[in-house]
Amino acid sequence: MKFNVETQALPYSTIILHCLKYPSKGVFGLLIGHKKGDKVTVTGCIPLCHESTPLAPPLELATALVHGKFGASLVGVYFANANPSDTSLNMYAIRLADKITTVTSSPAILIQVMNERLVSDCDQDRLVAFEKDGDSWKETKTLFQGSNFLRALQTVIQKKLYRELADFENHLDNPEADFYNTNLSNKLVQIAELRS
Amino acid sequence: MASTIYRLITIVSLLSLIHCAYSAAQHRFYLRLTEQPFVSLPADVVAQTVISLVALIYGTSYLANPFQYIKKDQHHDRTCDEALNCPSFITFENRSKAMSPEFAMLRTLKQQQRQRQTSSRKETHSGRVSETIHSSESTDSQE
Amino acid sequence: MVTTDWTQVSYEEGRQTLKKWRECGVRRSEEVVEIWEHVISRSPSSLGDEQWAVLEQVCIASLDAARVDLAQECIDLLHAQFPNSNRVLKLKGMQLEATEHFQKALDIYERLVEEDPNNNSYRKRKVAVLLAQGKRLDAIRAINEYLKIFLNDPEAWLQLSELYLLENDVPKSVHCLEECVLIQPLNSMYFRRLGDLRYTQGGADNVELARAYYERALKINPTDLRSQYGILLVRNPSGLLLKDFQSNNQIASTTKSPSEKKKAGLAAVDAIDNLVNRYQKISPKSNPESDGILNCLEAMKVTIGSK
Repeated sequence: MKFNVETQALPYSTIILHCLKYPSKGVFGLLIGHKKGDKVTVTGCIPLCHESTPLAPPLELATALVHGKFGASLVGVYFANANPSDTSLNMYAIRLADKITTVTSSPAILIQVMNERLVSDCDQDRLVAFEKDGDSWKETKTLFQGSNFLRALQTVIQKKLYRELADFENHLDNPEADFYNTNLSNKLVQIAELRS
Repeated sequence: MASTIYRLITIVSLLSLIHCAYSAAQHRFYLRLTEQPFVSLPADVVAQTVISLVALIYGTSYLANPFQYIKKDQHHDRTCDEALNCPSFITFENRSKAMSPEFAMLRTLKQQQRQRQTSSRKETHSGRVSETIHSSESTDSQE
Repeated sequence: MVTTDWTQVSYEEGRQTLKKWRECGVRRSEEVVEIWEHVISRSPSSLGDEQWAVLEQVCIASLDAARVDLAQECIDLLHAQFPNSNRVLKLKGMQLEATEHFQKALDIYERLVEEDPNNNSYRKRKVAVLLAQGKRLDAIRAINEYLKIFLNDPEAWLQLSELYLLENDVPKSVHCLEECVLIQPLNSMYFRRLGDLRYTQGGADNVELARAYYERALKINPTDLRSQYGILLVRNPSGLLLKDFQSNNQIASTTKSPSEKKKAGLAAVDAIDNLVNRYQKISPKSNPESDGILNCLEAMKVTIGSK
């Protein structure tokens, strides 16, 4: 099975913002979306933590809460390595993806952020998707929407909206922080609409 | 409610304590009137004082906030980032470097240089050994 | 309200914020640079003697935020004030690290260690150079050497524990954190993290240990949300999901005596009560999703309470 992974503008932006909020850390998060045939559309994401080595308890807890809320819409995991030149797959991300596969009983996808493509004038896709093929993870196709919304993302970054983003770790430090980022998402949608 | 009982105990014992003070003053006043020397307070006043004092301590200790463990974490509101950060081991190989346009330029320059060096090394491989050493030295110093 | 724009804060507020971050050692480099550039740099001299500490902080932050130009400014100012200072030389070394001249940086640190063998920060920088080069195994060896001399450095133990985790060696990571606990027995974060590590390790014994650690952490820090969740988790290890919360109950089978079982259950109910209390105080404005979490917790309480 070869998936085509399409990441919508909102989760795409949120993932990038999560990377920008913690430039020196590895980041992890969950992907929400739906599968239709061989096409996976990622419609949302939930930032989990900003550690290169996330431990099981917060991950399990967050997965449980998110699975309780979204059920089978939990489609995978995204992550970024702490070291910008490191493009290897993170073991902890793989473990989490495997767990999601068993929980939702359908194969989970893995999205990696390519740190070196985060430069503002880079018009390549910053995300690379992987799927499990037997025992190993193989790269799959991503459907990249082009540079149009990347410009909207650039304004968002200039407004430093990434500082408003909260992940599950922030939530555990202070439960006032909303790791579903409802308010931030509204702002992102507004900015995207203003631009188009 | 349990707290109303403790509040009642506190108020009653407080009143009783004030009453004790009043009785003691009365006793001294009576002694002065009858011109007798003061030896000690009557036993009933002393007993009432002690009992109401104990009751007052008991009542207020339940009225105040619950007891806390004596060994307490001083920095209980510290976030995970603060607690698990190791500032003196800080390294600068991070995403802001990957994003900075200057470093991106530096990176491409270095790549070009490296490519040039490897190609020039191939050229000079046959004859000019000294230059090869020199170019490999400069690679080392860059790494 | 979380401040997200540091360009508009008052001078005093900027100063206090920098001081706070300097003291708790949090890594918010980009924001430090922003405060410096927009607020403090207007008149650094009015900080008095504090300005040198601030300059050092800003220097490191600007290196971290890939602003080598600003770091150079800070180093120049510091160098003019303290021409023979080793501490300024260390900053110079860090700047070399940031521009990937690792060998030159190492040379500086070697010299500094020779000059002042009792100062541990230079030795730590040597480890950091190895880390920056991606030589993780060498770095582990170097920290172990360092810890033979400076046994009482919780930061180094913490870093070592993190490195072992990256190598996927949980038992050694646990050992390092145990050392941290010995050094700072009243830091609830260490206990909580030990609990997390033991839970990650898996197995009935480790989960039982995790529970003990979480309980200890809660005892010295009763408001810790993570430990409260931890106590909930250890009631149902191996893939906690709300739907299996009833069926899969490992703790119940591992603990022998029914009284202990009951105690674990009571602790979990207590933890849920505390969590519910905490979540009820949250205004839906700041966190619109708190109600959903609250409902989940209530559901858990019913399933645990019924057992």
